[in-house]
Amino acid sequence: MLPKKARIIALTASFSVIFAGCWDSLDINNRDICTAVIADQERGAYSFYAEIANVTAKVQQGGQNGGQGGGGDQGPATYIARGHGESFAETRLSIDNNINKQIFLGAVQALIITENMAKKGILQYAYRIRQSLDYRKTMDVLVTSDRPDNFFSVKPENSSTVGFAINYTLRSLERSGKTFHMSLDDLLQKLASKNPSYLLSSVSVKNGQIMLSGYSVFDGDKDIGFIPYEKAKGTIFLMLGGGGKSKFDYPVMDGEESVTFEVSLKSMKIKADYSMGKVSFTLDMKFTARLLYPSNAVRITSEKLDKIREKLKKQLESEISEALFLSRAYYKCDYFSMSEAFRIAHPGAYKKMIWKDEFVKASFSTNIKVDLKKNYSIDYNPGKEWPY
Amino acid sequence: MREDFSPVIEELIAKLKSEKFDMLVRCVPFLGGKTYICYIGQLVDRQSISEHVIKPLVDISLQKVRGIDAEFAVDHMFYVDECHIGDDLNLVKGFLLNGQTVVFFSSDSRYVIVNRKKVENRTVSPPELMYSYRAPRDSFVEDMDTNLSLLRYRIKDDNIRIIKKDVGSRTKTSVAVVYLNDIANQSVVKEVLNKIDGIKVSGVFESGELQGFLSDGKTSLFPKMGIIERSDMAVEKLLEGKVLLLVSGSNLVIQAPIVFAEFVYSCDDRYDNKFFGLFMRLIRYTAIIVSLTITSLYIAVSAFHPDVLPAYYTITFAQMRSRAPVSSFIAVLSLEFILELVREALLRVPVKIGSAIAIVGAIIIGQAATASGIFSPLLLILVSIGFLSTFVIPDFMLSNVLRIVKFLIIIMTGIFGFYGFSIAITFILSVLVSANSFGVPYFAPWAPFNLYDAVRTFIFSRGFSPERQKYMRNQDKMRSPGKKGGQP
Repeated sequence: MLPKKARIIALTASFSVIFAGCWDSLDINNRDICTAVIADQERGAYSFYAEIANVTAKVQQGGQNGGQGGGGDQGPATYIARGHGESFAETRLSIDNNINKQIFLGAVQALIITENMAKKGILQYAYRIRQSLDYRKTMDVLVTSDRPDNFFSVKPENSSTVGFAINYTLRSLERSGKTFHMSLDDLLQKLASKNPSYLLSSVSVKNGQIMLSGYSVFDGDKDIGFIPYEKAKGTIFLMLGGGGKSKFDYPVMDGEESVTFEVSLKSMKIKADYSMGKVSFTLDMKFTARLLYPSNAVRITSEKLDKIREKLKKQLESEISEALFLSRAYYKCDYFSMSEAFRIAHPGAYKKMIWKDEFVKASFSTNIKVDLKKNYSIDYNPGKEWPY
Repeated sequence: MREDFSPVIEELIAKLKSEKFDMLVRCVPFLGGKTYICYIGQLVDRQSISEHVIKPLVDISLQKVRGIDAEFAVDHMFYVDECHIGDDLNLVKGFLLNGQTVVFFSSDSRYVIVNRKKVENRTVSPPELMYSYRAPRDSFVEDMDTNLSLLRYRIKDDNIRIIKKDVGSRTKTSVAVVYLNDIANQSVVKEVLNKIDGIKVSGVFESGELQGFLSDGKTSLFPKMGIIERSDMAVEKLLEGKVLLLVSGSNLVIQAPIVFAEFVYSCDDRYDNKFFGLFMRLIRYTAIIVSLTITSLYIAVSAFHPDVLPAYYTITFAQMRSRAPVSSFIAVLSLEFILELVREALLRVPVKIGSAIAIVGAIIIGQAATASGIFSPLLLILVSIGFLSTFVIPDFMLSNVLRIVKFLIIIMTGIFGFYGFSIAITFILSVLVSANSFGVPYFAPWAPFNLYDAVRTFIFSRGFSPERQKYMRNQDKMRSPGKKGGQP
């Protein structure tokens, strides 16, 4: 009989061998690395499209051609595995039958859900993804109204794969304060919350390139609407909040002349009130507008400045109000998470009410201030300082 | 007065001659007696014997002087600084084998032992193992007296203690235990001396062998004693309360006790700007971690957990391995084995052939292996970085151990992935924190933690380090004179 210590060590070692043995190992080059997944649902059947990186093709480029990447037929950088079935499990099985190596999902950059599927509900699919440890929870979850095959016909300029191309585009916009990020983890959290309303980025193919087309509005697990990107500045300001995280260029017209500003939201305070059984919010928003350039050698006087500031303020007010209106009245879902501000201010009342019902009746008032900043590197008006 | 030797001495000389260990006997008669001058030709300075022992004897015999005995010879005849009288005939053989000359007198039952020992030595030369661009260039040689003189030339402290012992029943190798009596921890000194006394072996030829006998755990992989080649460094260690062991015939001095952090220390750290010293130590610590883990991490990432890489690198990683015919584990093992072969081959061949081996190794590994796709280019880069990192560690005793430990981590990672990697690292750390060197915790000052010492493990200058390392438990804890009652 072994002594107690030896038995414990032997037991631990045996468990190690059983659960973490070398038979779990599979070299990365022996796996099919998936970079993007598109999930579609049409006429009651599901389809998965997986973009698989062709690692051998890359080696031919770099290895045999001296790393210059030119010459010879190197084959495509990716190939598409398709799977169809009546259920998710069947569809996955079908896709596994189409590839010759074990699929590696840890490199998936974009999980794209078609509008068809999103309108019918993504809960089951979200649950399916949640139980899988293979996906990175930081990957983007997106919606598209395009056909899946359209994506894979694109030759992205900024990457060799569609998945990375989408990721790079979104990250680039996000870093410059022009969109917000909604990851798989965020989506799962939203779905598990009491008020599951949220926006998912929507991508589409235009002129042979993949671009952010807007945001799909989700109430619960269903896609109920769409906000085009061109009209989403107010929404993005509200989603990203203060701290200068969001930045947009605003050309302000003054007659035939225009002055362009870089506008960022410096601070945003949401005050939630509850009186007479009515919910109201006051949003104090301070914007900073940095003068970038005028349309011509315009002389900016203090009167002109006040006029421009007022115009810019009105433009911002209009965009913010429109964004709030869309959320409250048009889509009737609180994707700006106003419920959080209200819950913190009035926890007792929040507990008793059905937030969704109260939210659509809520009133919003905005208090917007714009602080104009001079671009010190350029003197637009020699001989006279600005601001005066 | 006897004209002939007593039968006992005659018998002894006859017996020693019959044992054929090449003893030479020169007989010089004098009035009323004769002398026997016995020595081993290879061990003594024969010219000095002729000039300072035989010549005075011959001169005095010509002067017809009577009554020459041992005492007269020592007092009035031998021009030798080290000679004394002995009377125990049983010790004669030992003296002769130790390179001493024994002079018998027919008129005296006692004899004279003359020290005219001569050992062929090389001159003091620059260090080969502990290279430094700033430190003095005199290093220890194989002669113990020269080594002791190098020490005493640098330290003029009357507290220095040199205790000499003979080790080896046949070799009788001289071992000198050197320490500063008012600084060194006496329990360490005592333990060292006891251990030396306890060595039962026929012979010791090099300090490394003695180190093996003195180390605590006979199966311990990590060295519990350090080696020193430079005399300046040895003196510095004495001042830090270490005990030095000089072995006759070895050019490397052993120091005890030692902690892990000291293997990362180079004398340049002290002679140069302290911030540069900090920078270099950070580089060396990083090198230790890199040399131990870099190839194991490659296995763990490529074969078990590619998820830990950023997604884009996963593809690049796979591309680089796409033509590799073997698993990353086998590839790492093979490449590490090849590098060990090259390293060993370079050590064992003459320098001129060594460069050829290096070229062949570089071509085989660098060119052919990548061109054929057997090894991933990334793996080659990582193995080379790991290989280079082992050379950054100043003490080769530690880097040798790390070479072995690296294989343990590789095998564990190859079997169990990150799980095995963690087990191997935990095992190594637990071995390090539970070990001790002559009572001093081996992983001090990290475990047990001491902030004062830990900071000085990275950045050291005597200006802001008035106290000696606390983990050494020295008698005199102050390094700088005049501060907190410390002695100069």
